Amino acid sequence: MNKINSTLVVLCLVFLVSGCANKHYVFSDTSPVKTLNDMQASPLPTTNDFDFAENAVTSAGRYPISGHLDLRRASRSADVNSMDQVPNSTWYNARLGYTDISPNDLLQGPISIGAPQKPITVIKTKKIGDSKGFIVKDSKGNKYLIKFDPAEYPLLQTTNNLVVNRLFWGFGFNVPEDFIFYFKRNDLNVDSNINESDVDSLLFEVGADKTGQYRTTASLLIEGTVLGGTHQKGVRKGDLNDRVPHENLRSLRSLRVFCAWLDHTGMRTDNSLDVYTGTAGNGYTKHYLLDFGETLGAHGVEKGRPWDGHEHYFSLKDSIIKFAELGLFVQPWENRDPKSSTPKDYYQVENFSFEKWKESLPFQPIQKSQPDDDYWAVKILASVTREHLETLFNATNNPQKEYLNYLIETLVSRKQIILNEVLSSVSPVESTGITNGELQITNMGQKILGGLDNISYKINFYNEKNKKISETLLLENQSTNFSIPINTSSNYLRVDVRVWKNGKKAPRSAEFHIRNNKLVGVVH
Amino acid sequence: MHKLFLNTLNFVLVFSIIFSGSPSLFAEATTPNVRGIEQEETKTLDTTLAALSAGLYLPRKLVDGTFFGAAKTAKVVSDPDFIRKVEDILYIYKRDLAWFPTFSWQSGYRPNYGAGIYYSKNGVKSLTRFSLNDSDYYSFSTKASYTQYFGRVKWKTSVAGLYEKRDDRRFYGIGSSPMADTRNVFLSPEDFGVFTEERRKLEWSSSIYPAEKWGFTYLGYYQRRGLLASGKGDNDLRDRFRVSAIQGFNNAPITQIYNELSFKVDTRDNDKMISRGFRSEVYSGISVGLENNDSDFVRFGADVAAFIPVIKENRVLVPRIVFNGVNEFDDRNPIPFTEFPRNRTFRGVSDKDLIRSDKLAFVPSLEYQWPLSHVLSGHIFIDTLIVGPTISDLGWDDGLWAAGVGVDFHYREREFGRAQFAVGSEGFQFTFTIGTPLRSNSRSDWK
Repeated sequence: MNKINSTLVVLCLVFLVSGCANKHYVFSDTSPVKTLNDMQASPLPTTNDFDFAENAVTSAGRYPISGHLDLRRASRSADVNSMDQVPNSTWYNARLGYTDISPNDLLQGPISIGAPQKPITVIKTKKIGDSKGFIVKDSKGNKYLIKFDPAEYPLLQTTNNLVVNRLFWGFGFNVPEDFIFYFKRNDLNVDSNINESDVDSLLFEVGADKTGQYRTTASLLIEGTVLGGTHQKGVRKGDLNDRVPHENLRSLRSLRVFCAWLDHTGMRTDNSLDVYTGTAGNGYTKHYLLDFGETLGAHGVEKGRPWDGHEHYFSLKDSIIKFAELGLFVQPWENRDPKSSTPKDYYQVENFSFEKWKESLPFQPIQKSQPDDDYWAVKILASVTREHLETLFNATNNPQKEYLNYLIETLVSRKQIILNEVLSSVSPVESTGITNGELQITNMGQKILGGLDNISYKINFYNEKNKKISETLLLENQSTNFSIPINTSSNYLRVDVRVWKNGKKAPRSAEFHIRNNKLVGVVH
Repeated sequence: MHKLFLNTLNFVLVFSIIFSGSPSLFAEATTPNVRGIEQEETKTLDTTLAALSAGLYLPRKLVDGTFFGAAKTAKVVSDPDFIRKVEDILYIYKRDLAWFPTFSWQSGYRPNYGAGIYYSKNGVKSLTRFSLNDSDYYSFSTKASYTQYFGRVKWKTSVAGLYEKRDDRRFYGIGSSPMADTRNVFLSPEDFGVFTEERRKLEWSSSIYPAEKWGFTYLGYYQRRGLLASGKGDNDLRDRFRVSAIQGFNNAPITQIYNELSFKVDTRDNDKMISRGFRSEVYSGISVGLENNDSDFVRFGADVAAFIPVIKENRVLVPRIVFNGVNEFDDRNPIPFTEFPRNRTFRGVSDKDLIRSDKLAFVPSLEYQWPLSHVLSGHIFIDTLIVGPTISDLGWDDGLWAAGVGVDFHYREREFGRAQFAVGSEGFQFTFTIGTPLRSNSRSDWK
């Protein structure tokens, strides 16, 4: 018995030691994947429904607690090409940060069919989350979901939804065509299957403005077979194109940056939608994000949750920490009074930190996001300008100009905070390739933030066996663009660039892999 | 033990090897190589962490499976149709009546399962409860109350009945140091003796609250206690004590009529959640013995607590003192031991134990309450218990103490459960309740 035990111990040690060698990526000499081939014909996959209680227990209990028992670090995203970019797919299309999107382009965003044409006919009444609405058919036969502002907060959700819908389109996500849509009672017909008094009772509840108009969000129903919300973990069964667990998709992990910026604390499965496009057996699944009304502080204020954006709805880990802390530390959000707060009190620059921001219920892709994923997302975020924001808010037809200006200023400031934090969490350098035996480098931190000084670089050179092949090179260079001389005779060369700012080194290096004098791989 | 350890180690190692032999085993087999790599990145730390995680494979799957079930259950129970069906079960007789299950357990005792029936209509409320463990361990109580407002003045009147039998009452002797107290005659050096008590009580009360925060209560009851010097387990009272020397035991059943007046003030906004304020209750009453019981005595006491915000409004420090006393009118007819004040609010032992009792009992305590989340709050406390026949006999030397921590579960400003650990002079005490808040401190439930 003891002999068996000893053997097992030795086996285990051998196994551990044998696996101990550090191995780095070795890239093949292939062109970067620009588009994922995930639109292949697939059988109609399984569908799923959403239940709040089930999702809450799963998100706040099952995944985090079983996650604490898994000591492995989150893996790198799997939908990333050799240049550390996300290829176009059914999840993501490169827009802001990759193509020139003017403010008007952004406002146009997903529109192809357009807003509802009056008169409209109610064909179904519907409960949407905590609010009510209905599905209508317009004069052209297109179907829309009509949603109202909460009675206590007129203009709030309709304004937020339009702005954030267009921003998420700009970030590269698929979103429905959303519009701010006004109608009067006499623009509205009611289908014979619907009880007209139900519709009138709803209209009475939400109330018309002084001109008798109802202000709403009209969301064009997405064509195809609705499968349900996107699973926050794993893949959709039966979808042959869905091969990467969703928590490992950078296109979804990037939500950490975008949701923190916009305070989209309600990000969860039912704010997404998978739709099967095409006939059964010949179609594929396309992934959408939707329902952006409860952003920019709206989620917290409407639900009266002072902790919104700062704490999860429930976290065993946080509760244990608070138990140990004995309540000695007062959180800034505790000064919010849910009875008297406004959306402004919830969407703030003060006390905002990207690192500390939390969505209401832990959403796995956000939880698994790594610094290289955040870095990729902030390069997109950096391309959103004040002009973009002004154009979007101007289009909301919201007369509260002072409030809109507050939102714009807050968005600009929160963006700056996120950029500062994330660009310090990696070595934010990119390469445009090799020219005259020199690796051309761009410091994205300098390019995005500007005016940085006291920047230096520590550069190491390795071969494909992870052996250091020359002395460490120290560079001091304050320009955005500079170059690194390399040994062009190497078959395979890895150049590790670590940025030092004000004498403090970045937590991780950027790697540039060069094969036969050609840049073949980038890792951040 | 050594063998168990080695077997466990083997198990972990085998799992480590199976699940961590190659890092690629962890990768999704179907994950496409979009990154264009020939060789994956592997770090020493990752391999080690993977091996350690493999050792946690079974606990992880257990947690995963448990929460998967919990999530599915949550889905079912939150379904409006299900809720309606459950309400159909819980609400009966045209929905005027509701019943609910209850559960409580204190370490060292058998759990109590039970149910309650609640009725509320037109200012009349009634609650009937029963709990059952076996034929010698059960209780049944029913209470009806009627509340009416005359302007801002609240008037409440109630009647209640109780029938209870417990075969596990523990008597440790009277006095602050029972073993040394000459009023007890021990037959064997054990701590306590177990006896059986059968109690019947009919209670009536009437309260008037001239203002929301304060009011007066008149309380009266008729009570009959039957006592038997044996009970569950080996420690029969008759084997531990000379029963004839225990005040009141030979006169059982102990029958009495009691009348009391009390004054209560509570300035807190919410007495179920962490809230600042002050609470005090003072009372005095007279008990007249009936049948075999010739003992007439006066009962008096106070329960005073301040809820002082510290750091923030929702963190409170609660200094509290509970004082209870009795005094006989005639020395020739001593007060039955069952009527002595004891450790009702002391959290170091079960409130079912008569661990310390005498004519006077003090329970000073200090508690700190703070929020953990919007559904959980924590509390830490230290309690002491001192008893004695007169004020001059009260001293800390023989006092009991307990310190503990606990978590309260609440939802929508109502406490619905509590888990609490305490350690102290009497060892370890764990209490878990669900459906019945422990913060209820109604003395009308005097035992």
